[in-house]
Amino acid sequence: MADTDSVVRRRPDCAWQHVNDKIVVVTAATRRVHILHGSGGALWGFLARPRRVDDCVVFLQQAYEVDADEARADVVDFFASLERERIVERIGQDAPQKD
Amino acid sequence: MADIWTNVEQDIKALCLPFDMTWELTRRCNLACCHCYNVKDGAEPSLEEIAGIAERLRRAGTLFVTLTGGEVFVRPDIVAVLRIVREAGFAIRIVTNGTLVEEEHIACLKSISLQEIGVSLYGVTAAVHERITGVPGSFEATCRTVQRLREAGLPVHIQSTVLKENFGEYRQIMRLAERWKVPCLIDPIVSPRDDGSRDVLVHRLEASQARRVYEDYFDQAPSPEKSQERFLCEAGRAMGAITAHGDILPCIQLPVAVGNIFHQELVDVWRDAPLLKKLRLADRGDFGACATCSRFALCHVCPGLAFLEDGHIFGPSSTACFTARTLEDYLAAKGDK
Repeated sequence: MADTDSVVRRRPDCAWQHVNDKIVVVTAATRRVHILHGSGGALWGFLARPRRVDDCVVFLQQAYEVDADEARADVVDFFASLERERIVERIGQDAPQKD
Repeated sequence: MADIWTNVEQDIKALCLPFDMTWELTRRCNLACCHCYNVKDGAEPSLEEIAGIAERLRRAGTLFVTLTGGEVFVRPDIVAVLRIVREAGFAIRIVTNGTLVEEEHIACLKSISLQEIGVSLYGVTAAVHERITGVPGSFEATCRTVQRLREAGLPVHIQSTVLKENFGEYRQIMRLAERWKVPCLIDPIVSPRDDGSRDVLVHRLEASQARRVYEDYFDQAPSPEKSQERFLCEAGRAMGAITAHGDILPCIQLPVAVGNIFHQELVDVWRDAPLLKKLRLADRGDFGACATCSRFALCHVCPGLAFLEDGHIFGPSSTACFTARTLEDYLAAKGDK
């Protein structure tokens, strides 16, 4: 998931729900429960539709007032771990529609 | 992870979210199990109503749904139902007798991120199983379904209520499950029917038989004693039920409607219903004779069983008392007490 041009989305086979300020996600493949909180929960909300990784970086930068390099590193690491856990998936490099 | 999950559990409890709901999709069933608690009045929400219920559950904070009946696969539109429930974003569990599961159902089950499917099996022979289900051919159909679900890689387990009629085979059921490499849940509890009728209780095990089943269970339980911190289950807090009539219950085993999801928002009912508030605030002192019982630490206090068996929600149930006595004897025999 190092390619920040790629488009990611929530895996449609995951079940999830808001609990207070956190997101509880249950994966289909492993039936494991994961908790996303803080910036992770915010990024999950931003992924309500597929997004380019670059757009996620900008979102995080603006939401948490961090510099671009730090935001990019965080987003890339975060999505890499979510992809490993089969919570999000990469669906190509087509830029999704702007808001 | 453990800390953050504890934190989430605390949030679920503090916010009283109906996080884990049992959902009756129908009151129809193709079997006639002698011990069934369900009243088979034919109630069954339409697809439109199912979609509406799903939306209300979602808004109220539900993540896990356990779909039950009646028999869920008796519905000719069950594939459409499962798709609606899945698209609403829930983690799905299903309880079934396994006799009506066809290939198209298995294909659908593979596509809905199923968390668990429990299949009821009451014996290792057709004679015993069908003495309970009342339907010839049900044993073979159920066994075939368990195997097909397993072969499809679906998370199937066997669940079995132990009655007088199948007491002689319950250990063989456990061994059969081992051979099939599927988990097996054994339960000796028969509760009165939801309409209060007690005719089903004639199938209950004799005390000595129930003791043996419990001892097998206790042998496998890592620590049969419960936490003092929270002596009640999550009924009315993180867990609840929706009946085929749309009634909102604190638990499928506590048939006291606190609202109706066809006419009310679950989120409002779950927040405001007086009975739910009372269950959440209840402490040991609210449970009559339980408050001073020496076996309290060993007892699984169950408001649902207390209501069905003994007519009160806040107080002892005959089954819970028996189980606690059995556990006390078991621990004494093992020298653990």
